[in-house]
Amino acid sequence: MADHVELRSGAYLDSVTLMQVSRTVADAPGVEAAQVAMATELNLEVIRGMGFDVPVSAPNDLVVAIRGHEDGVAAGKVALEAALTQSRSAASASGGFGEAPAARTLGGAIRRSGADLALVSVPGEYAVTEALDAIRAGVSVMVFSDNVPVDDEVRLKEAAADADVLVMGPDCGTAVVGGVALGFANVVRPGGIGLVAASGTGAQQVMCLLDAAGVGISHCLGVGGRDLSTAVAARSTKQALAALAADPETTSIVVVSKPPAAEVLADLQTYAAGLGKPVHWATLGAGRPDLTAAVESVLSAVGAAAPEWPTWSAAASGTPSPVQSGSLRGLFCGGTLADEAMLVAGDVLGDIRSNIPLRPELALGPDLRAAGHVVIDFGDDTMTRGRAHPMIDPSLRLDRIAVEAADPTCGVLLLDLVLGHGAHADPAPELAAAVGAARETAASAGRDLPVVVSVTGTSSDPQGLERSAQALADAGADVLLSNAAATRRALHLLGHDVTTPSSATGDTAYALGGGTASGAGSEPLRGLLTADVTVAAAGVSLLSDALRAQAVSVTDTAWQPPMAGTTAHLGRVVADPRRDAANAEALRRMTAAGADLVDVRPAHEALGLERGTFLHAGPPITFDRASGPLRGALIGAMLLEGLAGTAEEAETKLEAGDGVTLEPCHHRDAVGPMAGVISPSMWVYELRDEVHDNTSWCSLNEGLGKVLRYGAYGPEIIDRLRWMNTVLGPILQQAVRARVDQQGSIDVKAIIAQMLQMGDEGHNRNRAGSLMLLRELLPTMITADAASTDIAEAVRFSGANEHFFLNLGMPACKLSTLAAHGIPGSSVVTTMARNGTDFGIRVSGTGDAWFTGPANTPEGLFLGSYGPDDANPDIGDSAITETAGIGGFAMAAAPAIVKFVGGDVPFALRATQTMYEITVGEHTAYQVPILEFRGTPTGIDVTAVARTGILPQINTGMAGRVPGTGQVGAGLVTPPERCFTQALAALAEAVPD
Amino acid sequence: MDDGLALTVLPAAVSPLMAGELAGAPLRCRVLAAFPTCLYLDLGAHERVLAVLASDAVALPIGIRLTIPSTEVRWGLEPGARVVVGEGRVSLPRADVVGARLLRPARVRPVTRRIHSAAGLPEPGVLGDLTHDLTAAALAGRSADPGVRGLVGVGRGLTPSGDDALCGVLLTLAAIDAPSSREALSAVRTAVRSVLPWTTSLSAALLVAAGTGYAVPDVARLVTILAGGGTRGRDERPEPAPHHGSEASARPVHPSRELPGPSGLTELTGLTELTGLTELTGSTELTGSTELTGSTELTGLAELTDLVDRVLAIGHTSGRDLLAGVSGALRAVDAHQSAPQEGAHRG
Repeated sequence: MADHVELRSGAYLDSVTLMQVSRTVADAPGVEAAQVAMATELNLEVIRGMGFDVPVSAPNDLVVAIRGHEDGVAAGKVALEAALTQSRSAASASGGFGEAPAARTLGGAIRRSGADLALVSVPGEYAVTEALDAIRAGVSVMVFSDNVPVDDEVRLKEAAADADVLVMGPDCGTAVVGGVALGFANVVRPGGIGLVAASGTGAQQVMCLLDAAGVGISHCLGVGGRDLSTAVAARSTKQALAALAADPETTSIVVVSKPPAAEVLADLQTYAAGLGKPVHWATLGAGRPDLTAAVESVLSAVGAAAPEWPTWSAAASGTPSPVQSGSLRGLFCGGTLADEAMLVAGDVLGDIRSNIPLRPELALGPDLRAAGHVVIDFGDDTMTRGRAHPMIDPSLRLDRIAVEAADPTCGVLLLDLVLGHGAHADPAPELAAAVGAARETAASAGRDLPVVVSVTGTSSDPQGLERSAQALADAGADVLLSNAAATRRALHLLGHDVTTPSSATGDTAYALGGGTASGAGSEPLRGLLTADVTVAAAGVSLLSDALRAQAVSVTDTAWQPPMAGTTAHLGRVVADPRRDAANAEALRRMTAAGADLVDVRPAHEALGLERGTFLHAGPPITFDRASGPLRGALIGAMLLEGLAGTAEEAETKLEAGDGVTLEPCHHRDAVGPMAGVISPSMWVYELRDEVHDNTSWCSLNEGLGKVLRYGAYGPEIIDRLRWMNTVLGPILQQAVRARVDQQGSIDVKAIIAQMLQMGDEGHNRNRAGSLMLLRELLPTMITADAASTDIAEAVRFSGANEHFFLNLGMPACKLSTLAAHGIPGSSVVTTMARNGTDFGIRVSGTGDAWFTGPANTPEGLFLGSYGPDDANPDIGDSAITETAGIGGFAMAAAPAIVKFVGGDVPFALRATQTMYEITVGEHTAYQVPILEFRGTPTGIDVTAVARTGILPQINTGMAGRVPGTGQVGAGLVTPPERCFTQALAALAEAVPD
Repeated sequence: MDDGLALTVLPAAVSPLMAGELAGAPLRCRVLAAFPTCLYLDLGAHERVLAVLASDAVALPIGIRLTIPSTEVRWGLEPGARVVVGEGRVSLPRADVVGARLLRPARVRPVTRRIHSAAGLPEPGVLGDLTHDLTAAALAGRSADPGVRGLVGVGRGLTPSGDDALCGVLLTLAAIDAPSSREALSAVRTAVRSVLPWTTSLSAALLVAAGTGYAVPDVARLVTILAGGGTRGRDERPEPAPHHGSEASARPVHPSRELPGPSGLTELTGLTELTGLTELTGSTELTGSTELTGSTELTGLAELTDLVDRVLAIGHTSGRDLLAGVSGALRAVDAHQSAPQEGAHRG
């Protein structure tokens, strides 16, 4: 027998899918035991409890544990891969050629689908961010997730009230909106009773009892189990009450809750009195009626008769005799059902220990064991971290049933079974088998173990109430529809003579009427209760499937956990009230910025570069850390400036820092492609953004092949640079100045907009842009005051260089991002730049700080005999194009680019569409024809990158690793994650308290 | 929908207007028309038509709607073919469409008409005049028959232009919360019912639905806004994010979102009416903004323009014809409300 245990990172799958994968692996031939789960504490405990040795892991790791003989483990691995592949392909399925992948965030899914309701069932720590997305998109959201801090709940609900949408949850298991059952919900008949439920299974119990009495439901608006707590103060309940009061389909309202805070309930009752519709209270608590009694009161108020609640008696042994010894052991899936059982039984039995105790001193320890009466809620937050709810995955409770069967102190087992949408497709057979086995275990030890089950369900539920109840009865359990009655039955079996209250009366479950009807004709919650529901969902696929079975349009989010370690920072930054407006302003400025070519000048004149100062691409770096291409380019620049006679001398001086200053181009609002070295004598283009009064500069392009920007510094390179300084620069200066005098400046932004319509993307493909630029310059170039041979050579040089335009596109993009820089609260990236060693970004809301990480090496196509080993890590300021929304972000406009950088045409289309997931908007001038002239994705949002794990797509040239080599290829690259995680931390730090 | 031999069961949401026939005894129904996004089935009576709709079809109130788009649907049917409707399902050659729940078709919401304006709508033309005269007659208690008979069945196509304009009248009257409008609605509805055989079955079915305020969602939303509602419900919610013209939207972003464009704001008829519109849609002010793009003051206006554009895009001319009816009816309602009422002079 062998154990195979492995950890996989970046393999997030929801708990229901993993439960199914686990079962598939466990069923593989020769597998003795298997678990595939996220590495949460609870899951690790379970897996270690099975005897597996699990290495140190983080909750977002996937743990695979397989036990069996050698062949069995191998078969298990094969089954695992097949199951994971199937689930991934289902999740990532996209409709066709180059179609956008599924949205990664709920906001993205809502935007794409126009959904009017959102459903969040991702792990609780991430649920707030997704729910905020929905609120900001103007749709109500059901937060199925639990483990959400109460402060976050209050924050969400305040934001929702401001937006006139409803937060149903967190930990909202049940809702019915306009006949659509969300989460765990039973199929109930339509009618006039509206429910507001701070309790999932409590609401299900009430709805099922009403259904059994022939009374129907208009809506059931879940509000989360804590809504009636002091901290949350019924924020959602009041909104839901107001909405139901205005809903013409609803004639009376029932509020269902776990034990509420007394002052909150009192305040709520006052509020409800003014709504103009009868409001009934099914709020559990000491001295208050149980849910069944509350329902009977409602039935009486609406003029319906309470029926004899259905029961199914144990078939095997007839009616068990009451026993005189042993304790009550209640094992529940439903928290409110467990609460109700404790309230009913506590009056008779006294103290009941629980993981959701009625009083703190009755809390169970971590092992959930105690000698006396015990009630356990297996659906409690602490029991569902990283695993599916017990209504879906019953395994923990089934295990505990076996434990109780062997425990001689267990007198009666009290269980619940909840049917309906979202729950296990057919849970009764498995539970019946466990009940039967438990009774046999007890019998073999000479004990009779009575089992009582409350089944919450309706005859219309997919699982079937009668069939499920009968299966349990056949296994020897007493089965009742009423949970309160089931509890009393269990008490009876323990020898306690408990009588059912004759019926609840108006003084305990009461209705308030009168008051003023609110806003006839108005549509609260943005019409949620009147529109046909369409849903955007993030999380458990089972819940989406249940909606589809009801013919509801559902758009699933391909949700993944955010980048490691970002959860707290994300929560803080996403909630920053300045952020939305700040990012909108950043986008507005980016798209409004102009970019006019106004001059060509030497760098010492334009940038004030002093002798010995060299600008370079990327974030700050010292020569000793500089990569080969940057070193080569700096050596070449030293030679060009006459600061060294030989390469060796230049390198020595650079290493010593003797009279040499290195500074990023970005620090002077300039940009340089690849190594980006600008020395004082080099000529630069000068571009102006008159809208924001900014200026940017960039060196002249040297062409392709062995050139300084790729780190080459041989004599021919220096000669060319000297020619550019003495011939090309002055001619271009004359041409530009004459053009400005005659026709005004050259609108570079307009050329970019046009080149995207002509198959360029503005970073690695600039053919159309270069020709258009030349068209603008030629008339004044050829009339420049220079020798005709010089003019001819300048024209030939410019025309032969398909990247001639790049050095104008880059400063145009710099002007765009410069305009957006320095907006407090904005999480928009305003710089992405690389120096061949480090990748650095700067963010609008964090000033001039750089956030850096080791630059990745591009992957793509190589020139000649060069290969991956020859490539230097990513280098250049040219990623400013992607920062401003072109380049890799506009690949869909330039499908031919894939012949240069690798990939295929569908990839190019997908790349652009994927970038919409991480940008705050679309460019108004730069458009992609094949995407119906959609604006390019513009304004990279640090929070979106951290949330989705999608890194900006950059097209880039590849420089040779060895100084002096030049270009070796072109390809695709992304920034390192840590640039964004650091930036996010700084943004979080900058959020005002 | 699977092209193979295995029968697929497709869950669908059923309009309550059609739930009776779907749940009833099996009935062999003739296919009136088959389009990629929908099937129209003749349920026997002239004005009873069931629309089987893919998820990307126009959400007619007389439909049973699938959750899958037309790209995944192959009806396998031609006009004239027969399918069985009943016992909760529509039995197609390759799939059974099964009613899984009742949907909530869009319906106009009766609102008080506070502002007298039809701004935002295109020039109504002759249809506007005809529907104005019809509505004025009905409001004044005169017979609606002549006006209705001049419109029903007039025009080409499955939903003739006159019928579309009549739908506009019915919906407008249903959306105005006033006794005179309710009475006029009843009169027009009665007049329409008597001549339903004069038009196509589909159009007759839609006229019946419009008579009770049901329409496709954008139309119901727009008519409710135009009829005078000032509240900001979901119908008027702000654009969720700057990603307008998103990938899944039916149309590319229209220039009118950014600046007044050809089919949007330029069709509005003056600043006074613009101001009226901003009031209608809850915007607070129009002045003080020099940059239209991103101006919050114009959000409501831009949304309304967008809504108008979406309605105009329905059918070849159906949306335009329907809006002509709305325009004519609103003009008549405003004139009626502005006119001195009998006895008013007595103070």
